[in-house]
Amino acid sequence: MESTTDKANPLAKKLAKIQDNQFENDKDTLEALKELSTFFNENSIRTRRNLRGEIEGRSLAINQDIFKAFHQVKEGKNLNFFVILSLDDVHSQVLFMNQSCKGMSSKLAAVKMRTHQLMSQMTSFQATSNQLSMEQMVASKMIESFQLTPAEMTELQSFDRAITAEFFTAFRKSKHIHQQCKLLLQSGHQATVFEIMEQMASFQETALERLYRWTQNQCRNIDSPDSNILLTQAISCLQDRPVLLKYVVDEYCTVRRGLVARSFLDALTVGGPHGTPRPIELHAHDPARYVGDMLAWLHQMTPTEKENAQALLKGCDKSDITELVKGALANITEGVCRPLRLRLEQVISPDIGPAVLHTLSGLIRFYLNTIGEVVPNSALIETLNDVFDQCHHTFLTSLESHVQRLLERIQPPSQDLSPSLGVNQLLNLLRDVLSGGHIVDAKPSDVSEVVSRVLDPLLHLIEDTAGRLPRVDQAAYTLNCVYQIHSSLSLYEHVEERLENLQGLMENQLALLSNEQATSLIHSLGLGPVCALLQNQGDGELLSNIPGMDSSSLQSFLVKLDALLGAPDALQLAQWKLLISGSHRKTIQRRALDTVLSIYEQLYDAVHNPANCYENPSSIMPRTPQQVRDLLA
Amino acid sequence: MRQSRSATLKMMVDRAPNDRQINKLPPPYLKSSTPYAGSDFRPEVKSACISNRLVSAGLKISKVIILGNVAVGKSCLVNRFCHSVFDQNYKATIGVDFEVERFDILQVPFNLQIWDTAGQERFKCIASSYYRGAHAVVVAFDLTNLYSLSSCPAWLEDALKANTVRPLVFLVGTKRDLLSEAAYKHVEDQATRMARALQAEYWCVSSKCGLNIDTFFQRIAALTFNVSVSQECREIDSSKEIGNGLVTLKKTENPIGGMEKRKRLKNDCCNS
Ligand SMILES: Nc1nc2c(ncn2[C@@H]2O[C@H](COP(=O)(O)OP(=O)(O)OP(=O)(O)O)[C@@H](O)[C@H]2O)c(=O)[nH]1
Ligand SMILES: [Mg+2]
Repeated sequence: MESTTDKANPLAKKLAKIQDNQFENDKDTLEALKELSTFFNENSIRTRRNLRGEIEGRSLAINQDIFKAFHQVKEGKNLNFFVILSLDDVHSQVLFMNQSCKGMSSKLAAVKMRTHQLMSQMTSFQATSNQLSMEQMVASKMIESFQLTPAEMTELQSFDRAITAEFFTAFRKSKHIHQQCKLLLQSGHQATVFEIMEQMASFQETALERLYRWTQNQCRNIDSPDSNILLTQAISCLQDRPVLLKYVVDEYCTVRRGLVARSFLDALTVGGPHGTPRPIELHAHDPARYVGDMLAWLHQMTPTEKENAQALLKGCDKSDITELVKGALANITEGVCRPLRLRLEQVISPDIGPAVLHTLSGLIRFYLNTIGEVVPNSALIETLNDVFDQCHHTFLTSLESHVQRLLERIQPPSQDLSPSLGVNQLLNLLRDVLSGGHIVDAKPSDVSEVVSRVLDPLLHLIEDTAGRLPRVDQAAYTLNCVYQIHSSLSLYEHVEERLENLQGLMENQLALLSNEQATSLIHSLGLGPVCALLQNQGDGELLSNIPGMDSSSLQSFLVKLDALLGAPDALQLAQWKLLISGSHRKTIQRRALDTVLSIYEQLYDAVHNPANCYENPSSIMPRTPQQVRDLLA
Repeated sequence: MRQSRSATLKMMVDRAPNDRQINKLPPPYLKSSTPYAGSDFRPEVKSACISNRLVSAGLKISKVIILGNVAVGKSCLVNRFCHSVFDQNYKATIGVDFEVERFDILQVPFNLQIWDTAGQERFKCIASSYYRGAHAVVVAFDLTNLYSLSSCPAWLEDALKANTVRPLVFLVGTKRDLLSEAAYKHVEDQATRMARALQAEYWCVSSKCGLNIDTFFQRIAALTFNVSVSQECREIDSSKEIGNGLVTLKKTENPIGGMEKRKRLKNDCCNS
């Protein structure tokens, strides 16, 4: 209702409007009021009445000013300090600008037409560039894996530098590249790949050449290859060129050979540091010691040299290192051959006697085997072989001449039928020779050779000298000599055959002597006729009736037998007593008595046989054969 | 030249097996029965090994010889140590046998050359040629055979005669496994007395069960190493005194190295 009233009342409306007005917010009004306060100084009725006119006047003056100004602008008047173009000028200039803009725009359109082509070219260039940079990446990767860096190349090729671990890295790389190239070949690119391979091959060639020279130089100045890992690597690399490897190893061997030879001479003449050990040549007067020490020195040198050679060659995985080492050792030990041979040959003379010579050949043979295991097929072994042959030969010659000399001194058998002095001397010689050679396990054939060379002529001589004696003396003398030989020989090995042979010889003599002894006993006991009668007893004949077999004849035999039982030795042959061996004497005696006993036995049986009609046989022959046997035993 | 060698030694790849690595001096079997009393390597030896002063010297070698009556068990001793085997059957040594064992002592490579000689009389003429230049002498006897103990002085005398410098001497009783504790004590009593008389270090071992075998040889290796390195140190020092910059010492005590050393030191000693 109220609003209806307000609308209806214009005054209320005005009031409300004024009330609502907020001057402080109305800038225009504030401005107008400010302007107003510049000329409305006095608030009086009169000034209030004039205010409207005043405002309108002012407004007019302002419009006039504007008009004047615009006029000036249009006419292009120079006003104060400003150059103000006339509007017409502006207009014509704007027109001109419009025109040139249009021109430019059409030009632009034309250019745009043309750059479109460029743009598309650009895009295609961009694509090419992308591809190219891709390719470049691939290429640099390729170079990285298929080419050496400049540093690596210098490492491989500069001869004046020392070999370092980097060298081997580069070398391995070039080999690896060469290997990889083979794979690469399967993907085409033949020309490039071949080129790379050629390049790598040439690098390797130079590198190996360089390595070869360095290694050779190292080998010349080497102390102990064990401590030099670069050298080991170098040798391993040089396996690719067996010839170079061989040269290097040869160089090493040459150096060691000289060193070993020098050390050998030092050991001979100077001795060890501070004179320990003493020089080997101090013992030159004792051939066995001298030769033994020299050979032992050589033997003791081999392990160290072997160790060194193994250390040097341990990188060789492409061939059998044991063979290489053996070859190197053969080479290294060659240097000692000459001084060794010289000295050995000097020592080996027939003058030192067969026993010492035999010892020497035993020693040399021992070292032939021992050193031969370490360095077979070497000049050293060849030298030892030669020297051994020479020594053995000298030994045999010397033995022969000694045997000959002693044989000449052997006297004919003396009265006592004991072996002459010379036989003993010869046996002493044999003993000396055999015990000298005993140091090493001698071959049976060697022993029997030595034995033959002494015994064969000796036995011959014995047979010869004994041949001039009566039969029994001959047998006894031979038995004595052979017995002596047998007992001195039985101390040695490898002479079984010879001992058997001697045993056979003695057996023959024993048989002969027993036979002789038995015959002599039968004769002494007067048993000869009894024997004959017993054997030739005819049928039906009574033994007791036969002359010589009657109880009184038998009685004389039995008395003699009793005497023999009392002193069994009394009836022995003179030669029997001269036998050296008690057991031989016993054998002969036993065999002879056995013969007698068997006759006694027959006789006893015959006497006790009732068919022979002996009266009271137990009183004729009271002793049974067994009792007699026991008494004689 | 020498420099590059020293560089390469450090790069050595090969090492001795663990039980052949010695970094502390192993003690004697009985403290009361040894003439070698030191409880550690000599200071100059240790410092030389640490500082690589011996680098130019290459591989070191010492030589040990083993003597004693027939069948006391010398070869078994060596075979047990070098090959870890034991053979009940007796097989006589012909002349001499050889083995070598590699050690690393204070990280320095070292070879022990072992010469096993024959006890049979007939081989004596060969065996005795190996006595010269020995760094250590092992006189072996059979603990179950007192006669073999009584032969020891003669064996040692032979070995000493061949050497002007006294080597290290060990008296070792073998076949410990065959004796009861009580029986052993009785023998040990006599053996230690013998050891004292011979100025030797006493050990007892069994090759059959391996008792003391490794420690015994480690002890030998360490003691010979100690002696030879300290001698080398002395020689380096004396060569410095001579003021001859060219004097370098070479390696081994083996026949060959030894000779070279001898030559260089000629000025040093007058008995040549
Ligand atoms: N029970 C036992 N037997 C041993 C031991 N050591 C060695 N033997 C035995 O002793 C015997 C001789 O051993 P070797 O080592 O060959 O004797 P050797 O001292 O080398 O003899 P030569 O070479 O002739 O001087 C062999 O039968 C071995 O089995 C041991 O520790 N215990
Ligand atoms: Mg043996």
